[in-house]
Amino acid sequence: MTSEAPKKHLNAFSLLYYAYKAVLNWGVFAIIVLPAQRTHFLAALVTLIFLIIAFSLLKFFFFTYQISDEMLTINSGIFVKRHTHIPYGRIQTVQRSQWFFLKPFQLEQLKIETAGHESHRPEVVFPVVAESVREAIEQKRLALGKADQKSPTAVQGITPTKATPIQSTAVRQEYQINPHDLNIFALTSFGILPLMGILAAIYGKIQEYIPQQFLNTITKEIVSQSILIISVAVVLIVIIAIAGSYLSLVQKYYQFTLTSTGDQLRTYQGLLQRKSVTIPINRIQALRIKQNVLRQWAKLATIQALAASSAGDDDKGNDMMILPVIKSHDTFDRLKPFINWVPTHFVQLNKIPGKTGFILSVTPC
Amino acid sequence: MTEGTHLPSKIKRVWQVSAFINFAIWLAIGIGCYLGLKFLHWEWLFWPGIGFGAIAIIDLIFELILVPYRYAFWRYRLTDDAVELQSGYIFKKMVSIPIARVQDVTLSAGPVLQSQKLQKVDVTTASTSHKIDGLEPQVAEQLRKQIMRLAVEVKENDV
Repeated sequence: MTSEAPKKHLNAFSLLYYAYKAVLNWGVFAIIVLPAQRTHFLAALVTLIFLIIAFSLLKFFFFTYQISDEMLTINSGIFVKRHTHIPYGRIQTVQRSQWFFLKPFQLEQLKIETAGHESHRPEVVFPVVAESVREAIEQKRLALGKADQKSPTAVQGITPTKATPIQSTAVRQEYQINPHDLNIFALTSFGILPLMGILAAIYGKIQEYIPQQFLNTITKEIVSQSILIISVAVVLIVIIAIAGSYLSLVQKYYQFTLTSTGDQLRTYQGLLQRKSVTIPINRIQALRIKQNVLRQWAKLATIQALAASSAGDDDKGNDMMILPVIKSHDTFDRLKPFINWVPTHFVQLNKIPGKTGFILSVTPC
Repeated sequence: MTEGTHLPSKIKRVWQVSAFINFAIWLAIGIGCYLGLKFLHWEWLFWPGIGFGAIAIIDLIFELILVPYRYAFWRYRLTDDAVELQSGYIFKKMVSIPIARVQDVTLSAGPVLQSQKLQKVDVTTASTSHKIDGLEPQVAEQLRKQIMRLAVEVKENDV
């Protein structure tokens, strides 16, 4: 090995994270096994807790990372030892997320992705590490990029604009979502539909658990008012669903900020869990502008960047949000400062005259 | 391509051991079925039990027979800018991976590989991942270095 960087462990807080994950993974198992063990309940519980602790400790102990000059190396595995090597140049996106309770400790979760085909999960996940780790990685990556940019310009000397060093630390452009837009965005989401389904299911379950006798006496009393009851329940479910989806969206995109620093785009978002995604501009494969029906009426658009990794929302099609909400008409003006290759206007879809016009015009060319 | 390098001969032992491990797993399922039949009187488990037992034995025999064959025709070659993998005789397959396209390299070793001091190498490109079942640590290290060197050099046709 050319440069052996010191092996470092994660922050001790990751123990809690591993334990939490283990509880999630083994919780189902525990629920099945524990109630059957009436005689040895305590013993079983203690064993399980011991296993979880041992497992977390081992996992923590065997997870190390090295930040060397050319690449990032991750060593992990209790039985199967894995060493993953990632050259900095191959990093597509860097995702950070920081729960509010980790902020005082300057800790965060860090995910690093390459374009590797196993795109369902990031190549590297640091459950809890100090913020300085990301800075170190970013610095190495920038240093590499700079060294690389210098060499071609020195040889060619034709393009003087390229030779000027990019101020990669200075913020060039910034966009922050305004609260009004965010409100409309949250209100026009279709997220309430699945939420309503879930609430209805919960309502059904609750009804099942209410003792039949109790239910019978109640129904006798209010049988005449059953329509009223049902309609009240429906209205309640709808209201809770709307409020829930509204709050979760506002929480998620709270103070959404997009900044461009030199050759990178970076987003910040979130209230309880602050998230940030970084992507080099030349790694953006495509931009997607989309509107659901409600937002078409409100003339609002959502802009996403597609990368060769799976950064961004875990649940919403794995694409990185660039601008969650923007007025349709100034979409491109807003984007221009950030990404210089955006088109200047929407492609006009022409209606094809004649009888078949309707069907054909639906398919965009 | 006849010039490639064979995998280290210790890999045969690894394949044999993993064949026995597979055998043990199938057999365990079969025995589980038998126990269910015997003690819980789940009659429907009779044929599945026989099936799993048969799979265990057939799988073991075939895997053991195929070990020398696999070894004989599995070759790899490291050139300056590509990794070439070739396997099989009846079903020939040859893969060349341009090193410039490699996204990341993972070296891993389970208990069996560790006992033979070998490492499995996974080479991931943007579209697929290719694995080399086992390499000597020095060769794996050399491969890794080469890939890293090219990955740092090549920026033009980057993903």
